[in-house]
Amino acid sequence: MIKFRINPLPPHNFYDLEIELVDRIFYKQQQKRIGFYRRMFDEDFSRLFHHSNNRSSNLFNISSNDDEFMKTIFGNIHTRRTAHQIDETILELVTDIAQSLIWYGKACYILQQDVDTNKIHTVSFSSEGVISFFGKYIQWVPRRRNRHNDQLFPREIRVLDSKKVMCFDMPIPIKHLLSEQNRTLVVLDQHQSSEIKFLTQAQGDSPSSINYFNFSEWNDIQELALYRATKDTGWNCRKYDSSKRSDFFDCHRLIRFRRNQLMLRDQILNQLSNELSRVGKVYNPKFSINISSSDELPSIAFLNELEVRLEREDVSFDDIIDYCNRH
Amino acid sequence: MKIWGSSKPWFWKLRKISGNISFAYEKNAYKSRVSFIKSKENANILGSFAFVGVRSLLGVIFFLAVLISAEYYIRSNFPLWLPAITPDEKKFNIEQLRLYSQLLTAIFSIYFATIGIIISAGYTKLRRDIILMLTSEQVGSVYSTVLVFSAIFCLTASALPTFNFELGLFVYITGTFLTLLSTLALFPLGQRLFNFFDLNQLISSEILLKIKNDIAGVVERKNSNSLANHYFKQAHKSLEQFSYINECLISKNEGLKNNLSALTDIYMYLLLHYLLVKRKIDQDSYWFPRKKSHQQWFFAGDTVTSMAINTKSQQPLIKEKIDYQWVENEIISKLTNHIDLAFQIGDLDLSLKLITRFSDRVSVYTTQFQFETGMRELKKIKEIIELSFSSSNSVTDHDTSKIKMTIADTWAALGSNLCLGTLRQIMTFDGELKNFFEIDEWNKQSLRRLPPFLQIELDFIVKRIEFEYEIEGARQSKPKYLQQLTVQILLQYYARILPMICDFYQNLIPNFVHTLKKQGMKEAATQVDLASLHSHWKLPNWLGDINELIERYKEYEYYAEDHYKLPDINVLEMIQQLNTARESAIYNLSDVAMVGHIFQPHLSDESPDHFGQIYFELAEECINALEKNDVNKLDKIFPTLMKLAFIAADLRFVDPNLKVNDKYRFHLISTVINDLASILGFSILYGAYFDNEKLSEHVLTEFESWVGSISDKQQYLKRMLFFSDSRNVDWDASPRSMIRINWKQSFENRVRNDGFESQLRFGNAKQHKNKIVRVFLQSHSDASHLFFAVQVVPQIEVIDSNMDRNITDLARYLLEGDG
Repeated sequence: MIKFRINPLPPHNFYDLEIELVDRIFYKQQQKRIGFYRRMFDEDFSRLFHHSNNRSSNLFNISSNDDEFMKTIFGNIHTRRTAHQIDETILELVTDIAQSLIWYGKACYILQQDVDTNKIHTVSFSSEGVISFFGKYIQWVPRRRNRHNDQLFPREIRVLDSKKVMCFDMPIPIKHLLSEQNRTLVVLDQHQSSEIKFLTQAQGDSPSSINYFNFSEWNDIQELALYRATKDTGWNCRKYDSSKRSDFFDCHRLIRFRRNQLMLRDQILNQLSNELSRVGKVYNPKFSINISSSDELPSIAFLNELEVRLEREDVSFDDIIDYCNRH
Repeated sequence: MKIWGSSKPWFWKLRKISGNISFAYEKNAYKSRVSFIKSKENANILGSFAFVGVRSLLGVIFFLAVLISAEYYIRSNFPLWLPAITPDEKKFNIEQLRLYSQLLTAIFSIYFATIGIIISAGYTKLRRDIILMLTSEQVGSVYSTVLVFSAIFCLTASALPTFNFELGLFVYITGTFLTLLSTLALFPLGQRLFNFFDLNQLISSEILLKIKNDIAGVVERKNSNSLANHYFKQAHKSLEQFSYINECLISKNEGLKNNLSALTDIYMYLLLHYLLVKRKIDQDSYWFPRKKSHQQWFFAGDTVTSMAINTKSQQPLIKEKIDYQWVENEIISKLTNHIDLAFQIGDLDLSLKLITRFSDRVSVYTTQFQFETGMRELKKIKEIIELSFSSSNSVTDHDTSKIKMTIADTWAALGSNLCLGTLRQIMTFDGELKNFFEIDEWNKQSLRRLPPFLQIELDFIVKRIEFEYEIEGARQSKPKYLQQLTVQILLQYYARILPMICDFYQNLIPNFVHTLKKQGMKEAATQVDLASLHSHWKLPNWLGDINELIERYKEYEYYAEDHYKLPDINVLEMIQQLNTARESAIYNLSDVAMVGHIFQPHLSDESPDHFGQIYFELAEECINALEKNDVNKLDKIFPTLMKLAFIAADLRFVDPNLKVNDKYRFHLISTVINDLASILGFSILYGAYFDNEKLSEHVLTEFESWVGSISDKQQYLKRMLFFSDSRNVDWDASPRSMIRINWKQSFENRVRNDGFESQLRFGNAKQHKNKIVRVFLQSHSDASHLFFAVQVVPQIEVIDSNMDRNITDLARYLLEGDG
């Protein structure tokens, strides 16, 4: 049984999904359990902005041909943290989008007009099952059961109002980068506690059983795999206590990591300007907006320059670390 | 892929199996190598034995050949004389062989019985494994092998006829030959038997070689861990046996003298050999024993802590500390123990000899940057010397005190050698370091060119670079960064040893001198003190150079982050401190309690001349103090100098026992009086120049009180005047005025630099306000003349017309001004 609706499934639902074979084609369920390294990486990578308390107000260059409408649209964007200024709102929005992108690979928002106050609310909704189809957005909702009263809802296909939906996708290069790294991270996470298995094995079977396990080599292999996997993303694996890493190694990695983050940030901003311009046309046919990062925020170009200077030993480590942690 | 594999048990099993296979291969290789070495050794012995045999046999063979040819000649020419070999004769041959075999077996059993008797005699004294080594060295040698072989051969040969085998002439000849050979072997066997319990020989022939081989095995980097570990254990065992034998030998009193020096030699040989190869040993090798050390949880780092809390175990927090110095420490404790023993048996000659052996170690210590090891040893030796000197105070004959003085002197000299050598090494190492930086190659191989301590400290850099290659595929660390890290470590080391060097001169030597003084060995104390002056003369310059070097190293400070800062070494302050140490050494010299012995009149060439050296040192120091306007110092050291001068002038050189001609005697007295008068004159002069009355006040009072104590003062002063007159001196003898000219020149230079008018400079110069200075500068007189004019002339009642005009003129000028 298939039902058609216009509104997406609200983000907070109390249903247990019953996924069948047909659903699997369209509905991609997120992983229930996230591994140790993967979790750490997602947290680190999604932190696009380094928060500081005395934040200046012009982090972004915003140019729009209808400031009035822009203010209304930014006035009611629902982000995880409440923000008051437009810059802050954008910052929070980008942070939220980045988090969703990293976790789910997709972020979806819908504009809802409040009939009473005539305000436009921008609300995020679950990106699960959302498919874009020739400019139309369709949400596939499998059969689900209410947790409280055990009521069963049938399978639904919701054809969403494309004019009010904003969808953000992970940029392809970063997607490749992450998927390549995450493949190794998943394997690492699966075998993370193997050493304990080996240790207990020796005690369990018989007290004197021979154990061929060599912990230090095992550790080396794990470490090697971890660092090789994170080579392109530049993640430091949160191993601050390793004596094997020189400052050059750390700085190069830091620059690479930040550059990837900035790439993601700029892409999101780009998508955001496009999507906003598109949905804004519903309210003002000529509306367009362009958002880009200002000089207050770190830029890719400068990072590239820093990398070259580091090669030439022309810059101190503290400078690099300070710049990368600036915003 | 690898992670997945590494989490499966079969992966590790497979690894284990492959490890086993490679280990088995290595084991076989090792075994065959060992057996090859052994057989090579045996072949060597066999070769030398064969050579001896051939040489001694040649004569016999020649003789035999002569006999046989004679026999043949007789047989062919006169067949009637010699009949053909009959069965009886054959029988006789067999009998002969039987006899041989009996003989050999008898010798053999006697030999074994002797060994048995000897062993049972000394069995309780020695450990089992040492006995085993002794016997295997005896019995396992080729000599006894040959003996056994010939015995068996002859036995078999004599037994053959019972099995109906005909014995030809050849067997007979071979048997005879072997018996002869065994007889030859008897001599070396007997010789060895006599030396059965000579453990020294055992050490040098067996144990030392073994240890050397084992160290070579450890050094070889191709070897796997387990093999290196095996070598390590072997070496440890041999060392332990060595130290056991050492204990055995030094516990016996007889022959201790020879044993001690032999043992010291062997230990030292071992130490030097080890220090030279040490830089090739892998830092992580189990050759260096580990010690457990426990980390603090909070300091241990995230990974370690989380791992520890996952398994709830303390294991990850245990860090192993590596003891890199164990061989040195062990050997040094043995060596110092030997010196201690030599003192204990009261053999000062022997202990001096043993202490002197330290000089051979000094060069290796310095070139290998083992200063701390050397200093530790020196301190231990110092304690031993002080202890033994204090306990053997009763004996005070001349020879003993002289050798004691030599011992003390040697110790101080060796210490100075070590310190100065290290300073020199610091300078020369600079070049090596530059080379190393230029090559800019950072791996274990290239690091081995550096001294061991840097290898240990720089190990982390190599690990980082290897890591970078492994992960990033290229070296990321850049030269300037690495150089700064290296220089930082190097300077940290220098910051540790330079104060130790200063401490040696500042505390250890004065301390030593003080102890010697307290124990009543004034001569030794004086000698050490005087010898240290030379180092004090050298050190400021050297330290200045090192200061420049360290300043130059500051260029390597490229990264300004806190943890890369180069340590600050204040060399100038060290120089300052050394200066005060030198001052106190000089004060010591003017301390009558210490240098009292030099007032006793005796001249001997055997020991250094303290009287003369102290006299000249103090004179130099007096002028120095005057130039610096340092009243305190002058007052402290002048009285001794004056006493020395008067002793020289009034007693020592006047003594008729002094075998010199009269001209020279006159001259000696004259020069001493002139020296003294010059110093007094300069004190007046500098006092006037600096406008500091006090400079000359105390000094002149001292002089007056001395002259006042003489009964005939007038006569004495006149004698002084007479002797000081250079016109009376015969110029054939050396005038000995170089030192005084120097003093005068330095005064003139000062005057000129300060811009005052002098003999050589007129015109635009200003005049000094003090008259004495003016008058002196205008005259051609010396400082001694000034002294006589100011101090002596007014006291003399009848002025001799023949007095030096320089003096009279000066006196007149000075008087004129007053009037």
